[in-house]
Amino acid sequence: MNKVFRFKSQKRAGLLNSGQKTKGQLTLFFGMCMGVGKTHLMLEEGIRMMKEGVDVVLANYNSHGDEEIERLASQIEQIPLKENGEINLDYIFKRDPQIVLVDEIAHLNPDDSRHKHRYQDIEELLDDGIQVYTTLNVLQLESKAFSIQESIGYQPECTIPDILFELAQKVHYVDASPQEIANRFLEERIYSDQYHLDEHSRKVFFSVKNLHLLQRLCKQMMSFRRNEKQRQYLYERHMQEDTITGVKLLISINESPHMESFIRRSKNLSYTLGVPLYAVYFDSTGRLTNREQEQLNKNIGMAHRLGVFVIRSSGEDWVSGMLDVIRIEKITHLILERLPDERYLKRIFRRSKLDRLISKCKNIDIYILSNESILKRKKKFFRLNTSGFNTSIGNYVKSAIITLSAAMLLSPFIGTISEVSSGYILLIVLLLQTIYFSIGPILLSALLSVGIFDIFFTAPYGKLDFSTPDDWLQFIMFLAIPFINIMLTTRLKDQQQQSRRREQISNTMFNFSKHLSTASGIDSILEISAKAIHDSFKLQCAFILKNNQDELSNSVTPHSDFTPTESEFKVAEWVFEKEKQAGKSTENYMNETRTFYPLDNLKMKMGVVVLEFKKLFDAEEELLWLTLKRQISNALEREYLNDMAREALVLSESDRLYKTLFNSISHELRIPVTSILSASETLKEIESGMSKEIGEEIYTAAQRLHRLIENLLSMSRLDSGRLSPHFDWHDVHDLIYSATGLLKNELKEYDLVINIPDNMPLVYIDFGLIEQVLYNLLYNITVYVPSHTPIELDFYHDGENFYMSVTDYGAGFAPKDLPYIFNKFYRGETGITGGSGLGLSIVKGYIDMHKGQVKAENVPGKGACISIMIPSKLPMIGNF
Amino acid sequence: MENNSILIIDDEVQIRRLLSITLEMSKYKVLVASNAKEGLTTAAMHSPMLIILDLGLPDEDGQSVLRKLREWYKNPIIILSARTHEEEIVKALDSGANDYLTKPFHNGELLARIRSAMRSIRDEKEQSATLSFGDLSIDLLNHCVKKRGDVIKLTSTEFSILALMAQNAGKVLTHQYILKEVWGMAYQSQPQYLRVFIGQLRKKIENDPSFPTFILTESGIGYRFNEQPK
Repeated sequence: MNKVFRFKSQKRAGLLNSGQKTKGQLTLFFGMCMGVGKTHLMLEEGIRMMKEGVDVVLANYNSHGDEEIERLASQIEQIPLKENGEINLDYIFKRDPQIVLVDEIAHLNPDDSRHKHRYQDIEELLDDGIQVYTTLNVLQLESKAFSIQESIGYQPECTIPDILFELAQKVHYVDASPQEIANRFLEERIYSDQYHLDEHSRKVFFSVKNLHLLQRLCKQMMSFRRNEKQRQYLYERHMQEDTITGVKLLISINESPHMESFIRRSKNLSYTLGVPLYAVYFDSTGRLTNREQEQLNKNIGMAHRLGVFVIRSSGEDWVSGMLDVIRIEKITHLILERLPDERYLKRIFRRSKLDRLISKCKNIDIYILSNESILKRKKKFFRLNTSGFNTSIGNYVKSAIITLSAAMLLSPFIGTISEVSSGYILLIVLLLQTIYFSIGPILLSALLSVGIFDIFFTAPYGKLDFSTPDDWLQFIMFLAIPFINIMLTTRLKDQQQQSRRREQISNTMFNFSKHLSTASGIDSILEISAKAIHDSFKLQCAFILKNNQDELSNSVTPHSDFTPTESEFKVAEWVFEKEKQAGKSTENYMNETRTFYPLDNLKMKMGVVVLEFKKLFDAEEELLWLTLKRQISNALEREYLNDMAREALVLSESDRLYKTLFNSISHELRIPVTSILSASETLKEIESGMSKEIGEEIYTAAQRLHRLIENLLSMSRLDSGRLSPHFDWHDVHDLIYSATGLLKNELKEYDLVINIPDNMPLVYIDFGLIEQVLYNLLYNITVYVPSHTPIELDFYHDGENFYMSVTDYGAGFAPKDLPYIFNKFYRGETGITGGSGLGLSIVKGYIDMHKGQVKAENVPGKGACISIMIPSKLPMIGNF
Repeated sequence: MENNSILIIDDEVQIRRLLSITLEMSKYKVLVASNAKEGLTTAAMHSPMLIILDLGLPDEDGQSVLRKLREWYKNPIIILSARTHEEEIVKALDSGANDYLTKPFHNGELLARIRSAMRSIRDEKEQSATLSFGDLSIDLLNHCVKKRGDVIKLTSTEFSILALMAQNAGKVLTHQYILKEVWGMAYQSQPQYLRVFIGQLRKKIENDPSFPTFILTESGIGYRFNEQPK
């Protein structure tokens, strides 16, 4: 059963439009060559956006002496370049503009940069949500780079993956007539030194004919984009594609080294036709040698970069696998390569494979590409492993001694045994040696044997004689038989070695996961991981994990072999942030001496592991390392999740405890106070004289206690963050009525002046909390302000916010108290007892819960004034 | 002899004792119960004139005690609760409690509530077509409201609200109840409608809308129509 896996969506998405963060948009200014005015247009567009109020900066530009470009560039804010002349990413991130203009996307950064290519810089900018405008000419596309190589031998120094072109949100095509460009060139108005061409080639390059060709390539690319957009539109709406737009090309890629050109040529065919290209490869880990696997990965990477939709098929049988892909992906056209002039069996085998496929897909059109590029391929009859000769001299000597002593032992029997038998015996000795020695010593022994045999064991004895065909035949046989044998044993040994290695790897992995699964705690996981890295790779490593704030901590964990330098910590932070690897042998921060890998999972970033390579990983080690890293990440994630779960549990426990305590305390405090209040009230009502006075005193004291308890409980509820307001629409009249109702007796002595506009709407508040606010403010006045003075209550609403202010005619706040009056337990030096210092801080707390503001001031001519603003939209009330 | 016994169901001994003193002073016969089970039994045995029920009982949720009582008990039930538990009070009122008191309460208030609750069952049969409260008279038949003899123009919704409240004078009506009665089920969750209409009504019938004498706000719970305006 063949399985077909598609991962183009993730792969493609990974490059430009992944969904997690809003990515910036990429806008390309695209033209056929230098001098068509791409930079010019980009700057103009930037200036236009700037005038519309967009925040635009210019990261770099190269005017090549063009005054017009200098003039335009001077109108835009320029980001200073780094010391090495490259664009300054960190500066841009700090500046955080909306649009960055970057001249020339295809550019190779110097070694000490963060990324190898400038397009990677641009991707980082896009990742951060910044829009990028940049320029590109058609020959800088990977698929087009070789287009005119044959005619004038020009090849751009740097290319960008076609996928960037395909996925760019906008492409402005900057056109110019070839004739005009050619004229501009002749008038030397085009700076063309960067093409590194000699005088003649330059003339050819800027000839009208060549420029026509380039223009055609551009138009082809633009039309492809148009088609692609249309297809995307149909696809997103699940519409059936018609037969013209529904064309899909398919190629099969494998591990052969000439593939790159084949993929490029197929992609160009897809551009010419304006239709998408799919590629399928057969996943066959284990069947391929490391070098082949590497080449296959390279080919797949190339296909991705060219914007080919890559499909993985895990089938054994190529023909049925291909048919599956054709069926599932609704492929209409197949591109095959012309068969190279392969030899012998392989050719027959291949041809039959192709024939079978062709005969089975009758309704598929098939293109066959010419094999001009394939011919250039290196032809190798067989691979001879030269390492067999590089063995120690000792082995040569040993092998020779064995051969000679065998001949010596055999010498007494000359004459008694036949020539043939002695020949066999020598041959057997030779064959036995092939088990132990490599090809070099064996070849020496074979030559020795054939010499000894010819001299001593065959007539004429004592003389080297190759006169008869028989002698030659023997000579060939003595060389050929051990040689064949050694080829077989070498292969066997190779396989053995490979399987031993695989076993070693699976053992390592097995032990590692076994240890990991029993490990508990991050420390022990890291200890096991460090040990595994030492054992499997003999490498030094360091781990940096995140801290509680989800930032990378600035120290390594124990069990690390070294401490990274300060600059390395910066790189580690970048790796952690971007979840990409960096350092030596990667494409980011390439001139670091160590290599940094993120420890992350789909959901969580956990830290960074730093390795110090002695030699770079080969394919198999790389694979092992990636598996190891994933395991470490998983184990760490498990620990972190455990920790989080534990914390949540503790939190909910404490929450429960708090609630219980709070409820019981509030109950236990309130009940006795209620009883005292009730009892003293009864007492003062039914008694007279002394007892009545005592009753009244008890009642007043109990009321004060009751207020204090309520305030303390409110405060503690506020502090605990457990207070969740219940918002609803309320009438401010109700608010006044409730709050003043609770202070009926106290307020009798004051002259309450209430100002509410006639059209006062309902306000969106928690009634209980704001009632408490108003109560606290009024109560304060009854305590601190002499009676028989007015209290002004003002309310109004401006359509957005609700305003409320309470003004008294007392002494006002002492100026030095003003900044502190909302602090908890702060009491001004008024000399009046009775307050707990909680009232105003509760007011502040409650208003904060409404996302409002509260302000205290003294009003000249009056007294203190507390004004409150609470956001409250107008209620939606229909007519009914 | 008239049944004038009042049953107090409360787990706090001090509250029970204080209530007993206050009530006995007002010549009521007092029965006490310290938990739900005892309360239900006592109520069934003596069938008191009125029950004062604390919502926070140790053995059973006050709401469920209330529901069990209401299955057969027709006389008034007044509930006791902490001031911050408005939702609980609304729930209790909606499932049949006649009135409520929040701790701490004044004795006078308690006695007034008891009298009002008693009156409401006595008056039930003798509803007249014209209701008078102080200088306000409401003619239910002709949809006519007069204040100090002057006709007040009310919209039909305003009149419905006023009539509903006046007919239940002295009793607290929850927002949900009024909404349901006046507008129907669909508006129960939109108290802002009610607040707007109450605001308009007050402007028309009250002397000072900030200090109403007829339509009183029971904050967080509903409205009460004052049966004895000053």
